[in-house]
Amino acid sequence: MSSEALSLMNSFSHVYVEKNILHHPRTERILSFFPKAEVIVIERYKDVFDRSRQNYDLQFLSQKLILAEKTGTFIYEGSKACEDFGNEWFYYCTNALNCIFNCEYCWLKGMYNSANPVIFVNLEDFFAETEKLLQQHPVYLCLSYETDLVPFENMTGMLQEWGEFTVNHPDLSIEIRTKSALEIWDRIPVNDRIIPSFTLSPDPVIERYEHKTPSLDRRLAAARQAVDQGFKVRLSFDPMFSVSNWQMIYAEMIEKTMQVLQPDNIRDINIGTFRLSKEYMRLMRKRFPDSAAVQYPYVLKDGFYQYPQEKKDRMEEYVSGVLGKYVEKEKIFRLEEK
Amino acid sequence: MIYVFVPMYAEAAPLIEKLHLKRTELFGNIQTFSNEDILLTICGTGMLNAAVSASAVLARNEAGTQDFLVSYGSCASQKKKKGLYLLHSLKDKNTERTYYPDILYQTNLEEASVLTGSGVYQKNFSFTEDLYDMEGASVFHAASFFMGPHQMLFFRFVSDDGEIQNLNNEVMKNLSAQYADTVIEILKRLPVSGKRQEEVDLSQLYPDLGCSETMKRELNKLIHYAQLEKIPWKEKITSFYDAGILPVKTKEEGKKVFYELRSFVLDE
Repeated sequence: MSSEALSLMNSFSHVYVEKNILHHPRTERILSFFPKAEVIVIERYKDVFDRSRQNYDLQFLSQKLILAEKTGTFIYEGSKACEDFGNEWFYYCTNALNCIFNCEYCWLKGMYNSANPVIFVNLEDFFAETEKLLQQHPVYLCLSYETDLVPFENMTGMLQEWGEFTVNHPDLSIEIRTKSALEIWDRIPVNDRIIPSFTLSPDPVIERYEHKTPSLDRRLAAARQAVDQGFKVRLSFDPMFSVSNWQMIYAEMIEKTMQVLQPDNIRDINIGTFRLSKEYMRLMRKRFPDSAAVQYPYVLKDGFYQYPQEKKDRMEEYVSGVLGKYVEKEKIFRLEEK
Repeated sequence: MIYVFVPMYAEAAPLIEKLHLKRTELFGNIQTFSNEDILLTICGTGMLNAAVSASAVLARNEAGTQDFLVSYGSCASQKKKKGLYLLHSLKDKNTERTYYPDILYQTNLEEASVLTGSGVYQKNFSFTEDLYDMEGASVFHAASFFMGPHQMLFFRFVSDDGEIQNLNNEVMKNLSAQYADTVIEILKRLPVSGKRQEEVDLSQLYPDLGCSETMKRELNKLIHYAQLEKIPWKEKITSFYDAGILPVKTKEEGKKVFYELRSFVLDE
């Protein structure tokens, strides 16, 4: 058994498509991006997505795309573990599950059995459910929650459609959070209720934990494009990690960020050290025994594994202090302070 | 180990010969052939035989995360021309459940779907899948108790279109021989799992540090993290010994030293 090992297939060599949405216009649009892909027609996406004993790491090396119809709940209440930026009616929706980035610490790895992304093509049903909610009260809706939608935008056009939908619904605000460097922001209508949000990490953290994600420079270039279009951008320094020389590398990252984006173009910033629910951590420690990001001996507090309080405070207060040199305190959100 | 399941001896014979597999001791009524890396089982025709054989062999050998399963054999088709196919979906005709092995590796084989039924394919029966066999879905179902979908590969060669009068053992063996080299090449190139981070033996450190059971667990986690982050914890321990801090004399001393080590590793 000494021959050279078989090569892995390219990602998206295969696209699994639910039978009932095979001829949906958005399915056809997405499939046109993968003319060489093997299309496998399936009954329900869970038949592929929820199989037992899947290998997350291996699947990430050769991801397959799953196209499906979302049914059941379309809009969910936001988690207490996530920053709501003072919005009373904080919701998220799942236009897609999973993402092309492979962050070691990502909670989706504790939530799902598969590394393959699922895109729900029936956007019109998400819009209908959002309109129902808007009849009751204003809505602050996070789109990139159990996914990062930006890398899929060229093939789906979903964010552009969400942008246009938001412009036409004055009580709706949307947040589009991403680590992607894809420069899509000239396609999204500029509006104060549309919030491009960039998750930034220092390069040593990116290299160590955020596999397959763009470098800090590339993320900042994408954020700059959003700024140049007229958006005020949200920055997310969350999750932060206690890597060696963390003070220096986080301070350098902030300085570079402010140079590229200029403080006046920043809408607000959230900061937070890594935290993960007990249930997800238990699974992820089992699934990823060689990941330092999840094997760190965190402490359990209020159902979440996190750094010891003293360390967490030290890191968050330090970063908050550095940011305070550039932006008003009111613009800096820290989950713990609520 | 690569576990190969083939319904009939005639289909398996070219693999057995070319891989120089030796007959092993009969296990129940199940015939197996092996070398150092491969265990080939004649699983019998039909869903029940195949499922029973697969589950028995995989259980007996404690198949797990490091292993592969390869299912190989003939099938019927009215859609696909004669050739060897890699299956990307296998539907059980009885339960209508479909199984999906991960298609992760480049084999350069055309892919196909298969319908697995209990009886021999009759020409007047129509179905939407590309191929028809009598074992695939049941082997997948049985194997999924032991392995993940990334560990299974299913190969089928088309032997007929429902006309089976001329399909005897000799014909089947000759047909299988046409594809055996391709399958063997793939078997030889299946990737061996990467090595995991080696476990560290802390058995000497536990008593020297006066560890309770709880402290042992905490120390294991701490050192595992230090290993992953390449933090020089061994040097720190050596410095404790050199300074006469280790071994400790009391549990209180042990706790102090443990927290010093923890502060060093976690930069607290």
